[in-house]
Amino acid sequence: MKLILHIAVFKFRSLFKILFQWSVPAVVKNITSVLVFGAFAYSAYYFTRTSVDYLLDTAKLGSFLLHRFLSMILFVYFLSINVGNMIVSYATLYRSSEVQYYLTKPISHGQLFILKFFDNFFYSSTAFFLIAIAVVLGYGSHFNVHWTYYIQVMVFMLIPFMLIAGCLAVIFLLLIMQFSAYISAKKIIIILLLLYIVSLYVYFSLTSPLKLVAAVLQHYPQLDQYFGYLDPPVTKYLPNYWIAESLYWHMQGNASYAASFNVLLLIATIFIFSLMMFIGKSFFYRSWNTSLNMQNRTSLFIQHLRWFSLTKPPLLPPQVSVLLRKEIAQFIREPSQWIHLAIISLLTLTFLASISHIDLKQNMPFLQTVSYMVVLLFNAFLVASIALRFVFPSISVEGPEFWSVLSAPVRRKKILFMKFSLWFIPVVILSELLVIFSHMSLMAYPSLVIVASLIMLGTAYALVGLNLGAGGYFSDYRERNPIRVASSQSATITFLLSIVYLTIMVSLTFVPLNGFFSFILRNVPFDAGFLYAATTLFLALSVVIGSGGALVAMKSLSRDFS
Amino acid sequence: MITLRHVTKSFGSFIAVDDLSLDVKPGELFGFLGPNGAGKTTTIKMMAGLYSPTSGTISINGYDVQKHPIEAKMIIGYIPDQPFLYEKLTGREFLYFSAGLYKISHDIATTRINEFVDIFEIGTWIDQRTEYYSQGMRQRIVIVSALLHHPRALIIDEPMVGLDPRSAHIVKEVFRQKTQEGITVFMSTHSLPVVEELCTRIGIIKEGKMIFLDTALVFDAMKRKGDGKFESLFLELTK
Repeated sequence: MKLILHIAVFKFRSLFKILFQWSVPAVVKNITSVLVFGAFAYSAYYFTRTSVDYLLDTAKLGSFLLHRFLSMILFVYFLSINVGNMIVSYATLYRSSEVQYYLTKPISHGQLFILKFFDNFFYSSTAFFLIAIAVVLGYGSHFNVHWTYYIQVMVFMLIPFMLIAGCLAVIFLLLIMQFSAYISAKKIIIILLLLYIVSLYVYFSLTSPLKLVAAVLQHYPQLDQYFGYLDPPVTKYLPNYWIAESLYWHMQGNASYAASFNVLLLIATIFIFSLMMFIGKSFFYRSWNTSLNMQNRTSLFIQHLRWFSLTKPPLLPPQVSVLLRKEIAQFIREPSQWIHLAIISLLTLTFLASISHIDLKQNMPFLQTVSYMVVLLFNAFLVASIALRFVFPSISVEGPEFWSVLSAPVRRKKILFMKFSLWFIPVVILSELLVIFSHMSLMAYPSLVIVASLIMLGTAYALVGLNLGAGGYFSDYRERNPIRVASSQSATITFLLSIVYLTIMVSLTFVPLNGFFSFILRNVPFDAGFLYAATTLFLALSVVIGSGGALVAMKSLSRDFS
Repeated sequence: MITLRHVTKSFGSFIAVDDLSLDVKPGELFGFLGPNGAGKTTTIKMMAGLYSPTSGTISINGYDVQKHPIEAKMIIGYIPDQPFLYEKLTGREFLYFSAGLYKISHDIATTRINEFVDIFEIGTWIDQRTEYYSQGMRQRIVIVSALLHHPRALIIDEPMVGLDPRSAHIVKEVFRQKTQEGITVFMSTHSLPVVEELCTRIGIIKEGKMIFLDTALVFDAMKRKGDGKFESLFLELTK
């Protein structure tokens, strides 16, 4: 324990030094961080407060339904933390050079495991925690709870809840690594992925929000009573249910009953944490060794794909050819890149398949606009996530080896153009595919398809440029792991900026689209030029953002390289 | 010909290189010495185009590295102090990659790569990923990559790190041969015996300023005035 604390102290010291350094990029990063996080936290607070006010005071849905919705949101939140922790913990536990360093020191494998677990947990859960605090404040402000209750929620509910999600993620990862000695890691990952999809499907089938609302509304207007008998029994064993119940009973004034759920949550946390520690102590070092073999096996498989080989005669001019082939080779040979791409591709295909069956046609113009915007925004959100995961780290992943390109007679413009094109082309293809698949039920309105297509084209351009620019500006050539780069503080800022950009998209297009749908559904006079003007304005903004990002990336390549 | 004119490089208030001026002629093997943190690597990185000088100019065969970076880099062969290679590429792939960056045709690259693989005795390691290489093997690949395009100036930062005696001997022979071909070699190193053996001119830098600049013959004469040891004179000068 003393040793872990000793290391933790030095880790915190180095973290503080990184946070409070006085270089221009660091200061810009910190100020932007505070502004963007602050704005985002306030939005989360405001949104939660308004939603709770609306559901309880205006819609009068009752406290029971509110807390059941909360339970469902917490379930998704749990899975997000879980998946986030699993992805980052692979990098932290198996790909970090720090682990290699500590393995040469007189530190037990158990101590090393716990150290890296908390390293991973803090790294991948901090953003989630901060968002949760804002949401809790928004929720609590409706009920005028005492300030000590917020602390109680943080310490006895939120942290144990997140810890369970994090511990389970690491347990799954350890098992994957352990079993990958016998079954290929790819098969295990696919099985795990299917398990997640099935669990999401089963959970929402069982809890079925629509059926629940219908069942509760049968008791209208007496909605403010406890309908616990409607809960499917299996959900009562889930931590999100315990938190929802604890909050519900606390707000009903039954604090002692509420506390019983907190105790349940704490016991489950202690149990799962101990289980993880046991598995970690027993398997971590063994699985770390397995991970080395896994990398070798993947490389042998990938080496069969020779079409991108640098040793083949080039089809394009030499510089373009080698830069392109190097990018592809690096990407395909890095397990954390192609595994992530495979997972995202699978999810995207599932999304495309399901979205093509959604009938977007509604009778009410406003409802039609909202449902249309939700789908469009979801498409853009998917593009933003992909851009963040793959485009943002694309400059940092060059690593210290970048000297070989920067000291060669290659124009920086060419390097940047290669990187931009390499990502813009697949992202724009994906964006247009999303438009086609999501407009299956709206193909009768070609102008709408064209507008959506242009919007997504602009989105792809702006987000690739933004992520390339921010990735270049905040480039960290020492961090070899693209996942860590894509989940860094700078990456989070970039993602929040992307959300701001998407909000602008909604603001610019909502009114004209509403006019368009009013014309179609209610024959309300509408000038189509208004829609095209809004689209053009959005495209112009996208060009400015995308090109601005590319320019920043260009400048970053001209900085001193060390 | 390498020319440095009043070159200064500052990092904030810290001056790493202070008003450095220097000429290295074709066929000359210039030894650039100095204690740790003296500014050797910073100078070399400015020559290679990785750093921009705060003031002053650097030119290679008349091409200003800042104003005409492409032309200057086309004739430079740079060997960095740490042989970082793209780990996911094999040695051969990395060499083809380097050749492509210098616009060398595929056929010529193949011939030269095979030639250098033999000279540097890289053997079957050439088709292994560089992530499995030893420091010495990485160093050999980096040296080959710097020679592939037949540069007119070699800029080298610590060439002997990690090399076994046989490889070090090969490298020294290659450098000697290159100077005989009229190529300018600018080499920074801590290995005093290598400087003594190879260099025709020596410069010693301390706290960013050149404190000694003369031929190896003059240096040798100074050495004899003392206890005859290169090390003693170096320590005396950099005290």
